[in-house]
Amino acid sequence: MRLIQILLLCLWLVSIPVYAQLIPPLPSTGSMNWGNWSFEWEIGDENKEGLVIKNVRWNGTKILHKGSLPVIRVKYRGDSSSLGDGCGPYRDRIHEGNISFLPGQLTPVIGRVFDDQIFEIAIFAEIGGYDIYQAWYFHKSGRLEPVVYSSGWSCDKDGNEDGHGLDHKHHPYWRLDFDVEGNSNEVWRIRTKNNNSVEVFKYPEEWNSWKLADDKSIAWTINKPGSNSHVLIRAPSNELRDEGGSPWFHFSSKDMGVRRYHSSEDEGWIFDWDEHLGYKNPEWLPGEDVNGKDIVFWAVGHLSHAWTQADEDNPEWHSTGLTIDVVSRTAEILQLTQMPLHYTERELKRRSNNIHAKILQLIQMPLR
Amino acid sequence: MFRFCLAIIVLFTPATGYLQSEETLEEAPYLEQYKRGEFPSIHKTITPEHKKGFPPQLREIKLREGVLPAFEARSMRPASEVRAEALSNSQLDTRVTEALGKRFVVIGGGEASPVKERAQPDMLWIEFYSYSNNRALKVRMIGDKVIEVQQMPESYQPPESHEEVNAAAGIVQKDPRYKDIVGGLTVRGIQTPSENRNRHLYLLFYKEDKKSSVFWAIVDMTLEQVVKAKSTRQ
Repeated sequence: MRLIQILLLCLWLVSIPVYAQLIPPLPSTGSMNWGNWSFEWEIGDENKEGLVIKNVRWNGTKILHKGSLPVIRVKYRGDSSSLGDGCGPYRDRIHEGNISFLPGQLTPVIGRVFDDQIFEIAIFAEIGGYDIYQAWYFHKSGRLEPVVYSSGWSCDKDGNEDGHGLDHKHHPYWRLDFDVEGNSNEVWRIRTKNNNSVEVFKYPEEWNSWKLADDKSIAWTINKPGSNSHVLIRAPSNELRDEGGSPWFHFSSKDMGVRRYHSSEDEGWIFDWDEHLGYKNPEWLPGEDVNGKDIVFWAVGHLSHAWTQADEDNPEWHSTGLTIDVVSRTAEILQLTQMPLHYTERELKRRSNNIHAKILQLIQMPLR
Repeated sequence: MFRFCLAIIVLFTPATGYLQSEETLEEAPYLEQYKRGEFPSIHKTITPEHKKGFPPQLREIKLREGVLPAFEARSMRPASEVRAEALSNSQLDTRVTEALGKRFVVIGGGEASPVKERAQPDMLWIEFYSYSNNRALKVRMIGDKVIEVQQMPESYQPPESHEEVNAAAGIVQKDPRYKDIVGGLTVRGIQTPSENRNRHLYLLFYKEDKKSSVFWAIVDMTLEQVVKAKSTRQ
C-alpha cells in the first residue's frame, strides 16, 4: 500500500505542469484518518452515485455506513406551462464515464487541506453543459459537510429569448446510510417556528419532511436509542422545496426522507425523470417501522440558478450542501479546548464563563 | 356489517399509526437543549467562493497547497481491464447476447462493491444499454461465469458517458446537414428524456474557449439519427 502511495506521489511530482494548481492525487479507492475521523472512499461506479464515503467513524465510533450522491435532478423553467416543460428535466449521475480531470489532476479523486482543520475529498464531472464538483468536507472539530457545486447550462435560449426559460434548479439527493453507534437508530425532526417555539418529533415509520413557510429552521438528529450522543443534520443554505403549480410543479417537493434500510434499495437512482424518491408506501398504507431500526436518511437540496448575461459570460459556481455535526462528549471537549479562531469576542466571553464547569462535568464522565 | 368494519378501521387507524399522525414518542434526553433553542454553533461552516476556479475555492480559509494527509490505497484492478474481461466473457452467455441484440453500448463495469454487512465473493459487474431493445442491462459475474442478468426497468436510463457522447457527436458529424458546422468543435452531452422512450442525448458543441456553446443537437441513439439541431442563440 505504501508503495502505491509513494508511486502516486512521485508520478504527480514529475508530471505536473508548472502553470497548474497543485492537486495532490488520491486513488479511486482508499482510506484515511483525519483528526478524529476515519473513513474509506470509492467512486460509486456500479450505482452511478458519485464519490462515496464509507465506514465513517468519529473517535472510533461508527457514524455513517455509507454516504453517496445518487442523483442531481435538474428542471428548467421553460415557459412554465407543465412539469416537463423546458430543457431536460435531467438526472445528473456521476460515474467513471463522465468524470473529468482538471488541469494538473492525475487521478479522479482530489484531496485538499484547508487551514490544517478541514480535509476536502472531491471529484469533478462534466455532464452536458454543467461542471459539477462533488465534495465532502471533514472538519477536525467534528463536522462533515457534503457539498455540490455546479456551473453552466444545458439548454439553449431558443424559445427562451428573455433568458428566464433558462432559469433552473438543481436538486442533489444525498443517500446517507447512518449507523450512529450501531445500526439501530432513531430519527428526530426539530422545527423551530418563527415565534421561536420548538417542536420535536420522532419518526415512527418511513416519512418525508420539508421546511414549512412558518419554520425559522428545520433540523434532524439521529441517535442510538437511549444514547445522548447523536448527529445533527442541517441545511442552512437550502432553499424551500418546489411548490405545486407553475413553474416548478412539485418537481422536487421534499427536504428529506427516512427509509428502512434494505440492501436491494442501495441501487443508485433508478427512478424516472418525474419521480422523486420512492421506497415508501402511499400515505394511506402503513409505512415500514423506522423507530430503532437500520435507517437511511435521504437529504434533498434545492439550488436555484437564475440566468444572467454576466453569468453566461463568466460562469460562476453555485453550491448547496448539508452540515452533519457529531454531538458527543468527546466532540464537545475537543471543541471546548480547541477554541476555534473564528469565535467572536462575545462568543469567547460567553463560552469561557461556562467552560471551566463544563469541562469538570465532562471529565467526570467516562469518555467514548 | 360494512358500517361496523368501517367504524373499526376509523377508530383504530390513528391509534395504530397507520395514518401519519405527528404524535411524539418518548423523547431522547439531549433534545431538551434543542427545545430551549440551543443549537451547537461551534463549527466553522465553509463558504464556497462563487468566482469560478478549478477546483472551487473557499472563502476566509487558507488552502495548504500540495499537502495531503497519509492515506492507504485499496488495491483494485484497473476498471478498463475488468470491463474488457467482463465484456468478453459476458458475450459467451446467450442470456446476455439475446437481451442485448445487435446494437448496444457499455455504460460501465468493474469490481463490485461489498454490500453492507454481507460478505461477497469477488464479483464483477458490467452494465449495457441495448439500443436494439431500448433497455439497460446489468450483468454480474464471478470469474468468467455470468451469475445474474438483470433487465433494468423501462423507466431507467443510465447516465451518458464521454464515450457515448462522442459516438452521438459522430452521428451529427456524419449528417450532411451539420458536418461542416460541427467539424473541429468540442462536444459535451447529457442524457435527456424522450417522448418515445428512445435513448436521447442532448449535445452542446463548443469552440476552444468552452465558455458557451455555439451549436446544439438532440440525437436519438436508438435510431442513430439527429432529432433536432440548431446554432445556439446568442
